[in-house]
Amino acid sequence: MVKEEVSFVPQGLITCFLNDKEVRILKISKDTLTVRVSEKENIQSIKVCFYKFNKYSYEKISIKNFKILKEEEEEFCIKYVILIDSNEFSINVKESFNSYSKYIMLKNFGEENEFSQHMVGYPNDKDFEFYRYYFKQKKNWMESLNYEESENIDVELAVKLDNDVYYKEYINRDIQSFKEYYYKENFIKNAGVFKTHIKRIYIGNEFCHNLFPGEKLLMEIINKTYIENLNITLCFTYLRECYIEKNKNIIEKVYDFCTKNNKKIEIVINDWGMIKLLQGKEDYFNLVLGVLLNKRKKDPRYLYKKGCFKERERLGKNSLNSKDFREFLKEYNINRYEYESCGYDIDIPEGKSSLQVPFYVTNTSQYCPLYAVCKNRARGKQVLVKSCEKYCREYVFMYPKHLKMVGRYNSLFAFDDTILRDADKLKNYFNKGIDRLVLNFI
Amino acid sequence: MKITAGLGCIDDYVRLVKSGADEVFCGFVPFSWNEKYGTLFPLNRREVLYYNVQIGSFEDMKILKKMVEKYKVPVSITFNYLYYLKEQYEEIEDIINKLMDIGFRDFIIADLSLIMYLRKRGIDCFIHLSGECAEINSHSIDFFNKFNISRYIFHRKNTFEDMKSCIENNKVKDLEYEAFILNEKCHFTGAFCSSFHCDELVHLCKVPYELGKVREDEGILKSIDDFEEDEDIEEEDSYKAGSTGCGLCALKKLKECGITHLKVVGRGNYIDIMEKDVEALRKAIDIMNKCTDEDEFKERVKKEIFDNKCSKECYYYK
Repeated sequence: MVKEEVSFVPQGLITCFLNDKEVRILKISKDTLTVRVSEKENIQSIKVCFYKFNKYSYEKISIKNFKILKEEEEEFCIKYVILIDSNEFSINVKESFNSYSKYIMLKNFGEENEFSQHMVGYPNDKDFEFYRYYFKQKKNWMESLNYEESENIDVELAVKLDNDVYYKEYINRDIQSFKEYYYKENFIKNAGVFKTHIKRIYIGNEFCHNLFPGEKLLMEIINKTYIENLNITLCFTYLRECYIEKNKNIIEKVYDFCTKNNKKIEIVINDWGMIKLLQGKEDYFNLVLGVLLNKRKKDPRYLYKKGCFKERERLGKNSLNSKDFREFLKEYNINRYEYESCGYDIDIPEGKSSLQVPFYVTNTSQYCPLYAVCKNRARGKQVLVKSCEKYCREYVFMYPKHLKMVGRYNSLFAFDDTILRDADKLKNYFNKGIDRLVLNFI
Repeated sequence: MKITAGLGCIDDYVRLVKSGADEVFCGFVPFSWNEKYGTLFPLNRREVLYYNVQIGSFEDMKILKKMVEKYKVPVSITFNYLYYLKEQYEEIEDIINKLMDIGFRDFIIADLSLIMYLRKRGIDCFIHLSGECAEINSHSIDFFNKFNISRYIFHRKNTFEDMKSCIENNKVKDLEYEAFILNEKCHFTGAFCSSFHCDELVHLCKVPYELGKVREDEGILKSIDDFEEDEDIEEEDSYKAGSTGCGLCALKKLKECGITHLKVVGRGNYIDIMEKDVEALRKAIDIMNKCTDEDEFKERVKKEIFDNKCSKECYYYK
């Protein structure tokens, strides 16, 4: 091997074009290249592209002076060893070697997340500072916010009930008293857009199949919302095969209620299989695409991710920005989409959209990790929990303070306060088409 | 049951085949995609540039096709990122068409919108519905059947009963069904993981955490101060099959469910390790074919493959 020659540098870092055909670099040094092609080539031009991490782009170098040292025919390919005479090429090869080898060293031998600190300034030294109690953490997050200026925004305000505590409190209080309780519990000031009356209740948990209310309780809640003249959105999570019958029965019961009372409701779906269960009930059910199916990148560390600022426009888009896809969903009576405020500006498409604040889910597991830790002392020792002790009433996963994250129920959530700090951002969303604000405090 | 193994570069194809793989899957990401979209908008679920996990040139795919023609072990290609942008569908269609011209016909896809787009455009490739799509149940299979899916891939967090029920209830018969069998067991579900898996940041599920309490009052567990999560088993220097996730003991049950393909995860893993994984799985399948009794099968697998010291990183508990 030639001195300082490296084999199989990942193709994403350095790649080569022979006559405008991309080829794999097998070996590279500051003055040689070994590449392979499927058939013999009369090489007229060579271009080498080097990834520059800090620029989030490639530097492309056209090689003017080169010489084919060797052509080797192998069983499946032809290999060329090429001598490169280019100072620019040399410099870039050395730089690439340095950065790649540094990455490998830090990844394999560095301290916890030292490679992240080196590459993007991630504050890995703060990764071991935790709150002890979630209540205190939430208080801290909320108390520094100022949303008084978000008044005069005309929007439907909804509240999400997604656990046993909320279900019980809602049943035992009138809506005004419940609002007071909810706001106190979540350190929400009755100011700005939050002064608006609650017009809609979301019932059910979009992430955990064990946190959906039992049938009796569900009908009590639905009855109460109906009596209080509130709008109803029922939330379902993923649909496990073994729960198809159970969900079918719930839906039939709810549909009966709707037909008897001539009351239309919304159903948030997070599973494509739900469409079949809801078929034929379009007269009283309007379907909504839930957050587990409205996929997008969500990560509280997004400010550290290379390219996020440069690509902020693209970042705001996803499948729902395709008109064809929205038309397809319409065929299944899905006419509304649930979004979560997640730190960056979302491109809201045409149609009806809700914005859930201030939490957004980043990870969910059908096999509850919290249950696994509380029951089996290891987050990996997971099973499908059918009869749950609801450890989530009292326990959470605490994450580093600086990330504003929490492991709640069977999921990880991050707290986004960007639009709660900036009334203009909130107004902007309503101008773009959001017509409902959903408080999803967990 | 067939073994499908992850391929990080075409140079590993022959070794994977010789170790016993019946099929291989790989990722393909050309420079044109990386230049335009970087790792912020990846083409598949290996969202990195600093690892040899993707095949990057059509030339290498042509070379791979020659290998396939000799060894007859087919290759499927993953386009299994959770979603794509509207502007990307045409580019993906172009890439898929070029790959089909070379001779590849099987693609692993998670994005419903992309599947819909390809079928609308008349692309008649074989689609394997990725485990990264969403939950799989008999109703969702019914829904996806309209897109002419040739294989359904169950994600890791499935029970035998559920998989069996899905397969038996599928009105479309003679399809293929794939289940995970080795490596990279995750605490969360890929289809519901929106966080970054990039070069510069550790996976979000690996960020340090502690068990905490909602409030200061006492909980139903003993004092949190006394609570210590069992530590992960330390990685041994020597190889052990399934050290990061294993379903070998479940083979018999998976077969009874109707699973046709077993996925050895590991695009980009060292080929030495992948070879051993495939060999261990092949051995486990051989043991399964000789054992009529479930308990006997499990005992033999634990003894003959793990020397009675398995990782206990089980995919399938029941």
